[in-house]
Amino acid sequence: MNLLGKEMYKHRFLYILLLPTLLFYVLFQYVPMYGVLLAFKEYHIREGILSSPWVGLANFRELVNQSDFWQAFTNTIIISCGRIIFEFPTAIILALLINEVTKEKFKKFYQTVYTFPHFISWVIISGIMFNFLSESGVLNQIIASFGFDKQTFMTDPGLFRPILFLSSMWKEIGWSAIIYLAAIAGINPELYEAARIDGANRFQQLMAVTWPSIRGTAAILMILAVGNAMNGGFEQVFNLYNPGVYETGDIIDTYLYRSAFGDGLSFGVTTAVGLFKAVLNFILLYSANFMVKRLGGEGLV
Amino acid sequence: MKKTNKVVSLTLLSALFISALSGCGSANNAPEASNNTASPTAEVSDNPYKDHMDISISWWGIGVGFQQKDEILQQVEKEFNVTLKPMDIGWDNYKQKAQVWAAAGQLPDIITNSITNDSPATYNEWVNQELIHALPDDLSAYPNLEQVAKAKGVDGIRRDGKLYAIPRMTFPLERAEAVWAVDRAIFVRKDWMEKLGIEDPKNFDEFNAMLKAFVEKDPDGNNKNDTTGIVMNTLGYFKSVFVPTFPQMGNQGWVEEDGKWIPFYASKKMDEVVVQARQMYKDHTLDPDFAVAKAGEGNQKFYQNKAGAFAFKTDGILGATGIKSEWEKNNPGLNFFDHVKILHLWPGADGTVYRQVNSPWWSETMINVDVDDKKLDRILRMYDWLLSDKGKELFDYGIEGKDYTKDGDKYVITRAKEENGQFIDLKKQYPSMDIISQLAAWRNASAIEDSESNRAAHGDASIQFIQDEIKWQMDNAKPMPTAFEFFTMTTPAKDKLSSINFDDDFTKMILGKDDPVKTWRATVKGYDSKGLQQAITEVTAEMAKQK
Repeated sequence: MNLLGKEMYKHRFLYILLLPTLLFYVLFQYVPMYGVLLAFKEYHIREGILSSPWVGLANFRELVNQSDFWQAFTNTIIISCGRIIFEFPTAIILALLINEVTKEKFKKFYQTVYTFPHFISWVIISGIMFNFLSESGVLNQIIASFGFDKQTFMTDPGLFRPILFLSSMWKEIGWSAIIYLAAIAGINPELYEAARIDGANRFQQLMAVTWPSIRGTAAILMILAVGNAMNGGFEQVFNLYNPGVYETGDIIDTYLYRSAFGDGLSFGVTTAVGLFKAVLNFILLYSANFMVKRLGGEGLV
Repeated sequence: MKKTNKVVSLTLLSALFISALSGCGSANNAPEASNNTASPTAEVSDNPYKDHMDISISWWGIGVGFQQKDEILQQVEKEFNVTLKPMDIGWDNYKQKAQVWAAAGQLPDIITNSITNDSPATYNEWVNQELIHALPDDLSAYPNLEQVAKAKGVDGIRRDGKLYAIPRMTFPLERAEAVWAVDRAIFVRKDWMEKLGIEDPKNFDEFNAMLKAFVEKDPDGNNKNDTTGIVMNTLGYFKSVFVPTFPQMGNQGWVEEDGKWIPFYASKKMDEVVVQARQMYKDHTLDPDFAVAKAGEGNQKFYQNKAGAFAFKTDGILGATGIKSEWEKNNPGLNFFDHVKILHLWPGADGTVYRQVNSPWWSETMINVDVDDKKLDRILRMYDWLLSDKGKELFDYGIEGKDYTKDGDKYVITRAKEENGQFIDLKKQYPSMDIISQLAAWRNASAIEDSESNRAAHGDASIQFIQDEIKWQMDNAKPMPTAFEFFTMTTPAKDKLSSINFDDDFTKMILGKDDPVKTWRATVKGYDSKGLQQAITEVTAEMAKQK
C-alpha cells in the first residue's frame, strides 16, 4: 500500500492530467445515475428525487401489466436483431468493395458520397421520405402511371421494419465503413505481395488477407452493437412512425417518450422501464463479449 | 520557479474541481414558496406598478409573435411596468414540454396548458405537488377575473375550495353556444358537386358516395387520378363526420348505457363508427396520408385542389393565413365563396341534426408557485385588464389615435388599407396581438362577431358567411347530448384513463386490415388493463351520489 502511494506520488502529474477526464465521467455520467432511484419511488416534482417516497416494486408491477410495453419490448428486440443481421454486415461489405476500387480518386469519391447522408438529421430524412413514399409521393405517382394501385408505404405495419433498415443503411453505411477502411489501410502491403506471388487472385487476396485483418475490428464492433441492442434507434423510429405502425415499430424508447410526456404515466414507471432496459443491455453486452472470447477472438473486457 | 508552477497548477485544478462540484449541489434547494393565499392587494402601496418586473410566459408560437416587440406588446408592458419573457411551446408538444419544464423546475411564471379539462389527473398532480399557485380566495380586487371564477362549471376545478387555474373561456359566456356551433365545419367544393351533379348528402352513405365521386370522377378535369376525398386539419375536426352516427363522439364525452356510465369509446355505438371510418379509408374517400400528416399539412391538399372536402372550423376562413386567403392564393383570380361552401351534417338516427358543444372553456392559465405575492398581484391585474372593456377595445380596434379615433360612441377606423381595399388585419400589423388578446380568454367569439371592426378587417363576405352559418346552426341543429360534469370529474381510476390515447388507437383501427369491429372491441378490452372497468364503477357510483 505504501509502495502504491509512493508510486502515485512519483507520477502525480500524470494522475493530475487524468483528473479532468475522470471528473467529466463522474459528474456527467455517474452522478446523474442516482436518478434510477426513481424506479423505486413515487416522484414528487417539488420534493426532488431524493426525498420522494419509496414505493418498492410498484412501478415495475404497473409496467408489466401494460400490454403496450410488451409490444414495444418485442419490437425492440426484433428491430435490433434485424439491425445486427442486415445493417451490420453491409458496412463491412462496402469497405471491402471500396478497397477494391483501384483509382485513388474514385475511392475518395465513393467514400464521400456514401458518408455524406450521415450528416443529415432524421427529421430532414423523414420529411424527404414522406414526400417520396406518401400517397401522393413520387413513388406512388410512378406506380400509378404504370397503371398499378397506389400503396400506403408509411402506414403499412408489414413494411415499416424494412423501411427502417433500408433508410438506416442508406444513411449510416458510409460512416460505419470508415472504421473498417482505417483497419484495411493498416494492413502491411507485403502480405498482399506475398499472396500475389503465391498466385492468389483478387478475391482470394480479399478472403485470405483483408478479411482476417479486419476480423478483430468487426468482432469489437459486433460486441458494441449487441450491447446497444435494446436501444433500437429512437431518433429514426420517432421521426418515421405513426399510430398505424405501432404494432411493428413502437420500440421501448418511443413508448417511454409517449407515456412519460404525453399520456401521463408517472416518471417512476418510465424510469423503471429505463432501468429494465439498461440491465438487459448490460447482460447482452457481457454475453456477447463472452461469446467472442469463447470463439477465440479478443473481447473488450 | 518550478515549484511555483506546480503550486499554481495544483491550485487551478482544485479550484476547477470545487467549482464543478458546487455547481451540482444546489439542484434540490428550490426556494421556499409562499403559499399565502390571502388577498395580496392589502399590502400594495398606492402605485401598484412602481417596481419593474420580469414575467416569463408560455404560449403557442410566442417566440415569433413577440420577436418584433410591436406597439401592442410595448403598450401592455408599459401599462403594467413589466417585461414579458416569452417561452415558446408548439401545438404538437406543449403538454410534453410543460411536463419536462415541471420536472426540471423551469416552469414559466405564467403557464399556458390545457390540463383542467384534457387531463384532470395531471392537474390534480400539479396541485398536490405544489407546482402551481392558488388564486386568492377574495378576487374582488379583480372584478373581471372574479366573474370568470364564478362562471358555471368552474367549481369543478377547485381543489379544497381553492382555484389553481384561470380557465380560458370561450368568452363572452352568454355566447358560448354560438361559438361552439361554428367550431367544427366540413368545407366542401361546391363547384365539384355541381359539376358531378351531386346534392347535399342526407346520410353517411350518400356522403361517402360523394367523396368517392371526388376521388374517381376527376372533378378538377385534369385527366389525372390525383384527387382525394376528405382531408383534415387535425383528427379532432375529422371526428365530427361521425356525429350523426354517434353524437357523443363529437366532444368525447361519457354516455349512460345499460345503467352504467361509460366513456364514449366503450359504447356499443362505436361499432357503427369504426365500420364507417374503415370504409372511408378503404374507399380512399379519407385521405390515405391522414395518419402521417402533421397538424395543418392536410390543409394544403384542399388549397391545391387535391381534395374535395376539408374538416376544420368555420372561423378558419378568417385571417391572412386562413382558408380563404390560402385557397385564393393557390387559385388566383377565383373567389373562395363561389367554389366552397360548408356541408351541413345530416340528421342522426333520431332525426335530429347535432351541433358541437363543449366545456365552457378550453385550456387555462396557471401561475407558477414560485411567484411571490407582489408578482401574483401584478399578473392578476394584467389578466383583469385583458378581460376588461378597455382590453377588448384595444384588441378590436388597435391603438387609439393611430388605428382609430373615437367620436363619442362611434369608432372611426383610420388604419391603412390593403391593395384590395380592405383594412389590413390587426393581427398582421401587430404579431403579438393574436397572443396577448387571447391570454385571458379565447377571442373566437370576438372574431366572429358582426362588428364594424370585423367587417373592416375581414370584408363583408366573410363575416356574413360566418353569421349565416351561426344562424343555420342555431335554427336547425341541437347541441349534442353532453354530460358536462365529466369534463372536470376526478376519481382515482378515471384519472388514470388519461393514459389512453383514443386518437392513436382509432387511427390504428382505421389503418388495420382485420375486421374493424373486432379490432375495436379488442382495443377497448385492452383498456381494462389501464383501469377502464374500475373507472366505470367509480364514475357510476359518483353519478348515483350526485343524483
